[in-house]
This record gives sequence, structure tokens and C-alpha cells, in this order.
Amino acid sequence: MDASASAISIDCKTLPSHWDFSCDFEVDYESEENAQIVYSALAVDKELQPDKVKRQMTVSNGKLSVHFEAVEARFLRASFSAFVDVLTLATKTIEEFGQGTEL
Amino acid sequence: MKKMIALGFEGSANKIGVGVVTLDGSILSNPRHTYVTPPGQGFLPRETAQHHLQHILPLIKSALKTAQITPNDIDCLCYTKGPGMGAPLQVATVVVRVLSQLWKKPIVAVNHCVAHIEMGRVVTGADDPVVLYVSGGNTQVIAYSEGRYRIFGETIDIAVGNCLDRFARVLTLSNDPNPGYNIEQLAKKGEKFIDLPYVVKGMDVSFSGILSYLEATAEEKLKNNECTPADLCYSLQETVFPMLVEITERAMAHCDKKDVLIVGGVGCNERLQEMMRIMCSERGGRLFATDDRYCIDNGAMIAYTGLLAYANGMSTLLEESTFTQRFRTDEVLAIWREKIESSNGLMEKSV
Amino acid sequence: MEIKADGKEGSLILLKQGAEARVFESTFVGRKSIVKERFSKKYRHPSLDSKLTLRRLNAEARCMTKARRLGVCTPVLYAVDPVLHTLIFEYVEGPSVKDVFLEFGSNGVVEERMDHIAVQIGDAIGKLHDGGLIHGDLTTSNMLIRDNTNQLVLIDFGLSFTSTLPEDKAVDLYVLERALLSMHSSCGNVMDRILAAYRKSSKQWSSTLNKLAQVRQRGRKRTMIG
Repeated sequence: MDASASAISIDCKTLPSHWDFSCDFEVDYESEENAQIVYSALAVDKELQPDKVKRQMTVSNGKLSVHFEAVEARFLRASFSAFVDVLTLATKTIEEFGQGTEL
Repeated sequence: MKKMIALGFEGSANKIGVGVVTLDGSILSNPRHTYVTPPGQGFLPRETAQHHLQHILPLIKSALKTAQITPNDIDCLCYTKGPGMGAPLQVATVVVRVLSQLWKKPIVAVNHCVAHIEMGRVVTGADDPVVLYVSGGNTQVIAYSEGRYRIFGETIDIAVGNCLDRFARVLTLSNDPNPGYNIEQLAKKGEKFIDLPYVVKGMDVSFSGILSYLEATAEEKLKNNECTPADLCYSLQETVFPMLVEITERAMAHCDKKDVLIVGGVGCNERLQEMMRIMCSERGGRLFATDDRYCIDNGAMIAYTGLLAYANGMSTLLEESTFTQRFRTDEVLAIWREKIESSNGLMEKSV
Repeated sequence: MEIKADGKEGSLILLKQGAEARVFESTFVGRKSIVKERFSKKYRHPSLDSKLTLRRLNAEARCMTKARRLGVCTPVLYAVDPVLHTLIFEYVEGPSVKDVFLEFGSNGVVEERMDHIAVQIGDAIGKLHDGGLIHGDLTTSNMLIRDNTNQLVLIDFGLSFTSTLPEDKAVDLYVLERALLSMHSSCGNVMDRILAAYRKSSKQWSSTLNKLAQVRQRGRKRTMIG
């Protein structure tokens, strides 16, 4: 499990629709359980402006995939950056307090 | 029987704290870290959240180590649901959601204001006091009635701590350890009492008029040598604290309670405690106050209050473990108090 | 006004120690009366204390009289002593609205009586506000129900002041609303009944109630950090 930049692939592109700005990324936890824990911890908090930013998350094969769509680049940046902060926090929490770690 | 143990997380404002307590109120550990901003500046949500992100995980380790417990010993994980700033609240909330799944432990969401009250009650032994809750974001006079902590009086605009903090910025006093403490120290050197607006409406108070008056006139008064910064601090304390004592006393008279408990960050102020003590003794009541270990935001108060709720059958589902900037004190059903009251009633009847 | 000069008039029986005043029962020219003595508060700076004590004594005397002139029942003011910080006024026989409502809370609401009281409260506040008078401390402790007639009597005008601003009127109502919520939540929604009567009584009800909605919002929207 690694949340460093190498494990995150980001793919931003411009869509023709109203939701012009999108962004995809993926974190490979190499563990279905850990990916699911992070998913469940982060899914509770909805995007604050659903009319401006949408976020979808899925888990498969030990990977957490996240898809953002926004109507403006600045909303995308703000949501993405805030989300990465808590994603990193959740991941570090597992690293430090998960199974097999000595307290 | 094994004592119930809770791990509690607080991060609603500029402090991040993790505490371990047992149901009888013993605090096994309570480390915390404060985000201190430069003089003249307040704390902003984003920067405060970054501060919490950096410190929360080491704080958990230190809390467990000092308490000499392992995750297995914990009965529940408690966190501040609100009120507070969104981004800082989210930090502790996310960690609790992850730990709850890793350790297979239930979650308990806690109201920050109620936690201050319960911590104050257990630390001081105050049974059924009128509570003055004064901090950077809150100014409320609270008493328990019919299952809830009811708000009898409050500020109709800004909190008293906010008024003090913003005045400290006018004088560019240090924010270390906190602006209110530095006002308190400077006020001790003040001699001249300057007339400031005194606004009490029933059991409510207003501080915004005092603050804007000071923001508008302080610089000029100081330039003309009308008074010193110490005089201003002194006059501010001698005006806003009597307002708080007055509404507390009104609430005592209104709901026939004898004792007062002061909680929240501003509650550490010794001048406020002194005034309140004088008022209480005139009424034949007692003042209960705590020092900065407890009245400043900390994890133990959240752990203790969450544990009270948990011991009475309350917990929060992971999917419902949200946080909220607005969460009124009287929204919480204080079921642990009802049980105590009714069991007392039974005891009285059986005697 | 020397209340203690005459031996017969001098007997003072302490009825209540309030937050800022001691209330005694006494007689005034042969009539049963209340003596309300404001005392100094030791926790306050002396100059603030004397300013507040005098300001409130004067406010109470003036506003109590003004309220009567506006058609709101208050005790009749007999005498004012600015040196001893004392007011002497009529003794009103009857319970406080607080006691009546607490009784309703524990033994069930008597709808007819509740309605009668709520209507009188709304009506009285409407009259005060239209006359430019803000009570400043509208709690159920400061309202009495006169025995026999069941007439509402407003007391304790120490925080009263004159104002025609919708904001001040709205805060006056907000203070009452919160007092009802915190003390009498088991009596049902008394505030709605009071506001219905207020609407009928006050010509300026619309601007006041709009403002009240804003004042309530302020209370709920405050984030209360820390």
C-alpha cells in the first residue's frame, strides 16, 4: 500500500458537456479491505456544492478509484485538493494503526 | 468488572486533542496541540486543518502510550460532531471512521458544548449548576431542564472570546498561549476605567457594539495619551465580565439554582472567576471553575461525554458519522442525566 | 420619602432576593406595598455599578409609568428614592406566569386559562411596542396574574428603554421566545399564541415579525466555533 505520487495516476480532460472539467485518479492499496475502509471513511462526506462539483468513488481489486467532475476548474482544484488531504490522512492512519503495526 | 474506556478526539477549532478516559471521569491521558497564529491574525479553516493533519496521528500514539492501553482496551471512539469549523472538524472525524473499522469499535458523535459541561461537572463535582459557557465561539448560559441542556441566555451577536481575540488584534498582542490570557495579564496593570457600552437584554448579551467602539476609538485614545493599552484591557474586562455575571445571576434567579459552573476557554480567566465567586457567595451558592487543563478544548472531554452516552446505549453508525458547523446545545438529548435523575427519584421513594 | 420614619410603615418583610434588588413587603400610607431596593453589586467596578444602578432605577420608574399610560397593566408606582435606590409600588396579589406555566407543565395545560394568558401577553407587548417602549426582560418571572380578575400585570422594567426600531422590538420578543423554550417547553407552543395576539394588538406587527425571523436566523446561523 502506497499513497505516494507514483501510485496515483491522474487524468484530467475537458468534456463537451456542462460539467466541463473532470479528473480521475486511483490509489492502489493492494488490499481490498484497506481500500474499502478508506472508501467507507470518505464516502460519508458529500461534496459541499453538488451543483458545481460531483465526486464518484469505486473500489475494485484493492484499488480505490475516484472521479471528479466540475463546472469550473477552480472548483475542481479546491475539491480535489481538499479530498487528497483527507485521503492521505485516512491512508496514513491505516499505515500507522492497521493490522501488523506495532503501537 | 473492567472499567469502560473511551478514546476521544477534539478538533473543532485551533486545538487538536486526543484523550483517554474511564466512565468515572478519570483521565488516563489528554495530550493536545494548539495552532498559534502570529500577532494580529486569527486562525483560518484551511490552515487550521493542515495543522491538525500534521499532529493528530502522533497525538493518538502519545495518548495510548501515556494511558498504557492498547486499542483492544477501548470500548468506543468519540469525536466532536460540531459545532466548529468544517475543515478542522473533518480531520478528527475521518481518523475516527478509519480507526473504527480497523479496530472494530463503535463510534459516538459528541456535541462540543455538552462535552464542556460534562467535563466541568465531573472534574468539579458540580451536580446541577447554571453553566456559563464562554469561549472563542460561544457565549451561553445553560441549565439542565426536562431532558436537555437548555440555553437560557446567550450572545445575540459575537462570542465574548471572539470580542477579546479581535480586540487583542487591535493592540497586536501575542496569540501565544492565547490572546485572552495576554489581555488578562495586561489588564492587571490597568488603572483607568473607560466607559464602554454595556448591553444586556434580558438574559442575552451583545458584544459587537463594544468591539466596534474599541476598533473605532482605541488608536486615537492611545495616540492622544488618554489611556494606555493596559487601561483598555482592564476596562474591557471590567465591562464584558460583569455582563456575563449579570446574565448568569438572572438565570439562577429564574430557574432557582444555587451553583455556577464556568466552562470554555474564557472560563480560565481569573478575574471572571473572581467576579463570579463574589456573586455566588452573595447568593449563598458556590462557584465551580476549572483550570486550563480542562476548560480549554481537549480530547478527554469528548471521550468522557461520548462514554456517558455510550454507557446509556447511544452510538453513531459509520454512515451517519457526519460533522456539522452548527449544532446547538439544546439539540442533544442528555439521556445519561435523565437516568441519574430518575434513579435518584427511585432511591428517594424507597427510603 | 422616608420609609422608615413612621414605625407602622417601617416593617419590611423580605419576599425575594433577586439578581439586583431585594423585594420587601411593607405598607405605604396604610396600603400593602412592595419596596424594591436595588443594591450595589460588589463584583462590578464602582463607577459602572453606580451608573447601572441609577440608570435602571430611573428606567424602571419611568417605563412602569409609561406602560400604564399605554394601557398595559403594571403595579401603581407610589414613590421613588434615588438616594436609597428604592421604589415603592402596589402589591399585586397573584402568582407569576412562570408558576402558572410550571403547574401546566407538571399537571397538564388548562387550555382556556393558557389562551387567556397568552392573548394578554401578546396584547400587552403590542401596546408597549406601538408606544415605543421595549420591556427588555420579558420572562415569565416578570409577569403576574392578578387574583380574582386574572389580569396580566407586567413588572420589572429595570432594563426597559424607549425605541421605535423593529430590531429592538424583535429582540424583545426573541428574549421571551427563548425564555419560554428553555423553561416551558412542555406547555406546547405558547409563543405562536402570543404572536397571534401581538399581530392583532400592534399596528407595526409586520416589520417587527419580519425582523424577528432575521434575529432567529442569526441565532441559528452562528457557527459557534471553539
